[in-house]
Amino acid sequence: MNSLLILVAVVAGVAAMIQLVRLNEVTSKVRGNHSEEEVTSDENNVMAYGWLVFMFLFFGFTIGLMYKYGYGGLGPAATVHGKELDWLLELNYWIILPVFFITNALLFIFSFKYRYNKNRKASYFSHSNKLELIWTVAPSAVLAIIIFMGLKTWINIMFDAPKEGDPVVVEAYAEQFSWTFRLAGENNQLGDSDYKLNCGPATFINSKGELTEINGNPLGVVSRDYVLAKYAEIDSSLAQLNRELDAAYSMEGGDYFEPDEYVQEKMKKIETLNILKYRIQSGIESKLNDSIVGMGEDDIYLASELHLIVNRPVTFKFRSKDVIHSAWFPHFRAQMNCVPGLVTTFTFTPNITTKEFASNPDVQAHYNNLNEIHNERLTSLGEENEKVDFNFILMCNKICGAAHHNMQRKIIVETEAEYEKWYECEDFTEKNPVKPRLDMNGNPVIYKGWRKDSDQSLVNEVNMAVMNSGKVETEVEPQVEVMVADSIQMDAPVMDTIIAGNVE
Amino acid sequence: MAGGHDHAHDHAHAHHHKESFITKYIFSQDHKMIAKQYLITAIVMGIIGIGLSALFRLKLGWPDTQFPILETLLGSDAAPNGELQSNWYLGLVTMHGTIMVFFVLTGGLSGTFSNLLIPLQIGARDMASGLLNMISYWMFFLSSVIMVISLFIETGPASAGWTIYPPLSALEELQPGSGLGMTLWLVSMTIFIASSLIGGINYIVTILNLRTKGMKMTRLPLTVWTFFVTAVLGLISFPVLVSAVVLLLMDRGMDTSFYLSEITTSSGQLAQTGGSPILYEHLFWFLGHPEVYIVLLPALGISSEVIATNARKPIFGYRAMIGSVLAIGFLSFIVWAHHMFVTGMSPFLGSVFTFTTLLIAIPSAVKVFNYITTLWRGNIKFTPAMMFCIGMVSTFITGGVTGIILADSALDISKHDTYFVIGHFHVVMGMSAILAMFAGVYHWFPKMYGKMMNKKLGYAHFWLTIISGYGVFIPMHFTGEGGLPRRYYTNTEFPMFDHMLDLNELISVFALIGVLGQLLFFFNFFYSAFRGPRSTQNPWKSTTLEWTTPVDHIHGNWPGALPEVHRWPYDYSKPGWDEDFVPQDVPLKEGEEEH
Repeated sequence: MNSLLILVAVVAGVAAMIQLVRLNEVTSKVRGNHSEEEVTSDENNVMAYGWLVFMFLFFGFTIGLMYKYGYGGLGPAATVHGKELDWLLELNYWIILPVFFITNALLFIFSFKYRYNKNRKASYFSHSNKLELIWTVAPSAVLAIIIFMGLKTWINIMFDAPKEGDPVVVEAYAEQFSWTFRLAGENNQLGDSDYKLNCGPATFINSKGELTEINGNPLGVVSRDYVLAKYAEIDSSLAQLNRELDAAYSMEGGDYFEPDEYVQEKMKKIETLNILKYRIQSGIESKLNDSIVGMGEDDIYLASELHLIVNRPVTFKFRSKDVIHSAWFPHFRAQMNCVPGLVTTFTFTPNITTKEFASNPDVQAHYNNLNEIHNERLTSLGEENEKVDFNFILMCNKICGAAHHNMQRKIIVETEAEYEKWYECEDFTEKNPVKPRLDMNGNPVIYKGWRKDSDQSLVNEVNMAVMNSGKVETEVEPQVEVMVADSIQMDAPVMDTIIAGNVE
Repeated sequence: MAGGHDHAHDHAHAHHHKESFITKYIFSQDHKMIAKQYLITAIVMGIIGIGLSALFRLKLGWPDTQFPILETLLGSDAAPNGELQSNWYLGLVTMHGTIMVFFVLTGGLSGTFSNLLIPLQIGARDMASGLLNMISYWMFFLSSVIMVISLFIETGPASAGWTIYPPLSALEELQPGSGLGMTLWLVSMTIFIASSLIGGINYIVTILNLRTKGMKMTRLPLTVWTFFVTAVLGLISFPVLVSAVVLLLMDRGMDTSFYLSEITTSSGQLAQTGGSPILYEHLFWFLGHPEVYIVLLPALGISSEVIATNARKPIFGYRAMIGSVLAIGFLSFIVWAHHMFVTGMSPFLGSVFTFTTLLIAIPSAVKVFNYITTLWRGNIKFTPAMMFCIGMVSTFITGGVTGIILADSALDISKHDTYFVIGHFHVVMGMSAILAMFAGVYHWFPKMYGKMMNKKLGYAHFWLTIISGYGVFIPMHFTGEGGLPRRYYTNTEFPMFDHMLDLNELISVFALIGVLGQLLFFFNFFYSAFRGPRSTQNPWKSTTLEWTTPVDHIHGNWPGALPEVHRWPYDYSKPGWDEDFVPQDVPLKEGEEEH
């Protein structure tokens, strides 16, 4: 019905327009001019005045927006380099806004002033070296200033700042669609990581010969036990895949009765797992000395908000699990892409605490207004009202899939005393399992509840479907734990030959 | 016909056989017909491209409202109960960008006006190779069809953004649109690029070899100069995109890892490792930035021509205009990494590219000042084409100054991928280039169809377009200043952006007005093509050669001998002449200086 109405409206509109145009044509024929070719002086004047009116509307609109939204909502920068950036931005605006208004005004005013007059002839003014020299040199001079100031700031941010003031190291690990942080702990050095060790829940015999259960190694941190855990995961997947293939094989027919695609997919997975295992054996195992493994022991994992110390530089190391993400801290004026296969870095110094920032009168006024709008919307949706407090936010700023629009973390900047208190009181093991390997007494830690309270709700339903289809193997895995533990010992030589065959 | 022997000879190839419907209208090798084919294809693609933007603007403007029309148009997978799904939102954004940048502004703008104007303005009978020209169009058509088909497949179109950065675009399990949709995108683009290259070679050869007697390079209209530089840019940069696309196809289908490294998906680690997504970005933007100028240069050429004609005044600084086109063309090849300041690329490279990028502002400024000086003490006739061109200069200024901020690597840290960028490049590409394209259509419509477009509808279309255009894109600079990232399906997950709800609604209102405003153009175009009043030979009293051809198209363009050129193309209001224009084929009077 709706589409019918739309169709009728469109047809009626087109018909009406045809009639109007015809009417217009008939009347101009009666007047006897080449109506579509010659612009009458009336029309020309209307258009000329139109430019003047447009100029006022356009400038008024722009200035009005500046007045109402110029504040932008982010408030002053909350970092040392951000202040410099804001200053630079303001300098640039002071240069480009006059250019914008003056050149646009000249364009519109000349259009108005030199509108057609049949008694006048345009001046035959085809070039002037002097004028052209002026407007080559003048922009060049202004641009020289802009380039110089810009590069000075850029060099400060990218080259000088990271070298100063003993920065705290934090890893931000991005994946579809959440952030995980890793604090470098007491030694301020992050343990090595390798994507090949990234694994889900696993049960395995650890390096001390004890049966251990972990909830996963989602950041791929390198340690002996994680290598063993990964072997266990790979082997259980291999066993599962082989069983599935066996089940699909008919001894009598001498062939698979599942479709070719099914068999090939399984075989390809087996090949991939064997390659991975070979690479771990040849690439990681040999490097497992204490200096690498030790660094990661005190690392702390956070799948929740991040705490930072005010006036203490922080160096972020960004990694990505799957696609390119971008860590965008709008209040800190900091941004860096997270690229799979690379570790990118950005160093900044937050110089105001969340509390101080929130108590700024401008910010308070803005948030009062924001709360009104926010709750108006919630009310209209029939949802319960809530209070939005000011917070520094980290968000994703590079298209990364279905829930790209909701990949966020709060960042809390506080004094050192407050930070210490948080650090002491926070039970990392319970809330967000922390220690990757052994606790202080050398006992294996059972990583229950990794990310239990965190991000699953954020994952968009659309992608859940995709993810679930891939998770089947790992979920079946606990049932085969004993067999897996055995297979590490027994199948190793067999595995090696398979791998060698695959690789060569 | 009183034609003598020579005359008949010239006619020979034009009338030696009567053309069938198919060879005349479909598989035509005549550049004028091919130009019209390009234009109509581009208009159809434009309807689709701009229509998609209206659909996703509905979601952004009114995030909590359901629009049953979305379900009607996109199907119940994409918008169940009128609620657009996020994967489809990304798909719409991607297709909007791809269609507008490549199919409308590259294929449509260059394809239409290079084909129409190069032979007519340089005094040639046709393109150097009519056959290649025809193949070029049909490949463009084929790629358009494939791109449109990808909108109708079950898993949705490519949805990794028009820049299709891998790994997102490489693996289907990361995003449904990276399956068949992306394959179609890549195939379509490969064909499109082949079409562009064939076309480009043809344009270059034609301009260099087929100029008529007296048509020195320094007497070429600026349109032809810009088409020439555009073709050269395309010829150098598009092959790089082909290689990027082919490598991506191999990563997707053949287990290579040019772009893939250390990736863990829901089904485990990939064995493919050691590649770099940054490599793709370099390859893509090595095309991507010249592409901006592939879009913009023809627009600048068209407006130079239209402004000079309607200001009844020579274009100011003809040689400086050519110089700045060449400078922009050259510089456009050494600025690409300004799209990558925060990708983790070496910061030193960032410094270099800041420098080269800001240099481009100089030739651009020269062009703007020359346009304004052309208007100064002119005698301006506000034809619809002229209105669009003045609008084009205004948007070129507006988009140019915000470009200065984005070119600055330091400032780009806080502007990268926000709506500030969207505002900026839509003002230059979405407005400047599109306005010039409209100007071109209004100006050369009599040449294409021998009919006139309706002027009043043209004015209405212009004012609706420029007001809604600025109404959409100026506010985006402010949402960008507020830190709002692009390609967010909805901004409501962040309460800190709630104060922009009304601004986003305003943008959407203007966007819908703008889209509806284009209906005036579509109507005017098709109505006038069939029913418009017949035009005279030189309706705008212009000097260039295309207006010396007969109103009705003939194969070979000029019925008699080719015209001979005696002067530059901008002899408007020249002292010593009664008329305020002197066509290029009029010999110099005794003692008259060229200019």
